[in-house]
Amino acid sequence: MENDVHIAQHISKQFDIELEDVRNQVLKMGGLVEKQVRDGLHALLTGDDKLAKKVIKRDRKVNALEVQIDEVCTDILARRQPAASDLRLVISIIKTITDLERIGDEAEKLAISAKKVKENNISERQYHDVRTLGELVIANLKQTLDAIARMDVEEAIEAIKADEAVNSEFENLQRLLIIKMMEDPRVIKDALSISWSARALERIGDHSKNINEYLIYLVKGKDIRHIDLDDIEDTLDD
Amino acid sequence: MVDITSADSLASGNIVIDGTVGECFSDNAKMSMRNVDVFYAEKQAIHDVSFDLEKNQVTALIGPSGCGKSTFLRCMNRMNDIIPICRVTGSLEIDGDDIYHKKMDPVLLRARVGMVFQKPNPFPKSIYDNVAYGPKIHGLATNKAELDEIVVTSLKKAGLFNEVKDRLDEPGTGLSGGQQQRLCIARTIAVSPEVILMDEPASALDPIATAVIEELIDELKEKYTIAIVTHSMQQAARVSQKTAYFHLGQLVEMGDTKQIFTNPRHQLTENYITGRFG
Repeated sequence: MENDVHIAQHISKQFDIELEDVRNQVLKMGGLVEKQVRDGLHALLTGDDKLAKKVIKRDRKVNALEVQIDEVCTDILARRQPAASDLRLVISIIKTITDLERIGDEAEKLAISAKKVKENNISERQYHDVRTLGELVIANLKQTLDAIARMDVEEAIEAIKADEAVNSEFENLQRLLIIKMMEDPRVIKDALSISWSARALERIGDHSKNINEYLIYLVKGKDIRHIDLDDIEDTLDD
Repeated sequence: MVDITSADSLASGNIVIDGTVGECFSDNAKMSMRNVDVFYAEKQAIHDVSFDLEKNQVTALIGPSGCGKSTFLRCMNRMNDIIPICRVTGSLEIDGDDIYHKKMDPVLLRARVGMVFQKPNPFPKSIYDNVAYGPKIHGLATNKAELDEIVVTSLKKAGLFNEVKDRLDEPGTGLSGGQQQRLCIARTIAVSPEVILMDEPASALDPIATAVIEELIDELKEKYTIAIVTHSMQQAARVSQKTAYFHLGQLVEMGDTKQIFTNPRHQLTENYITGRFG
């Protein structure tokens, strides 16, 4: 079968509308979550506590969207009893929004750290070490959201590969922080705080990877979770 | 004459059926069909269909109206013999015996390959006589006690006995629709068939009676091989282990029901089970 998954063309026009609506809501939630991560990181790097507070407040919107989309999916399952690609679409949406919501939580963690920077009079320059990691994570998240918007499997595989770079940057950063702590034990408190933010960013990469896996399941009907990166393309060709 | 207009409306101009995709054959086949063509006069209703009915499994035949699934089901116990313009070519075998061999007695064949129809059709006789009729004409019981035994066992297997045990001499037509259908299943079972063909067995029943029949189908597969034609995709998904998708008289795709309903290989199967235009 061809790779394209068509949302439309149901005999029931109403079903087309329902699926298109729920998919648009997921994309909207993705856009909001991306903004949260950008703003969370920006607040952290600039010590902008006003922006940090906004991010923390806005996380409620992310949570509300998760609940709302879940409800719509339950409704579709109950009334439409979707099969094949429709079923895979609904299942992958239910799973995707769980990961999006968790990305939202990680963005909130960045904002909480940003608030502490201000409250404890820490120099925000301390956090510049996470800039590279943050930029990698945001690029990865953007690529993931583009992939789901276009249902593009190639893009999703590229994004999964890009998560490796996120992981290795995270490890580099951890090493750097350990060295700093060994050199000067007075920086341990700050270094642990930076490490906490770095961990949040690394987790965002993991959630993005999950979302790409659900997308591949949706389009290809194949479950590639827990498969080595090198074997993914072979599995998809089977 | 087979009406293919409804199937036509689902056909897409550019989706090609090029043979059957999926797994059509089994190492544990009860019935084997190979290169079967069916004609009603000059009109070809079935085109080169080949697949196996796996032993002790439920195989669902699905597809839009007029796709040939009922026609095919009827070929499997030569019900089409009674239609003079109907002609079947290719090979259909049960345990290696050629169903269309000139020495094959269709009456005996239909005892081996029983059939349950869409509308419950009990004989205008008592509940007891409905079930006893087949064993009597096939000489399966030598005395009344044996016949009683067959009737009781068949009614039990069909999950009907407890509901009718005190009124076996009452007319079968006095039962509810769901009970009548189970009576017809008991009547089919009474002649110890090997295969049971079911043509929309629950489409005239309410959801509760349907659930009872579906539960029964699940139990019956332990002893019999079952093929079921159904318009309800949810029913096919619930009761069958294998699913065959027919379209315009061709077998488009066959495979494990789970695979067909989560990740069909052919675009036409996908379109049908998701309720899309071709």
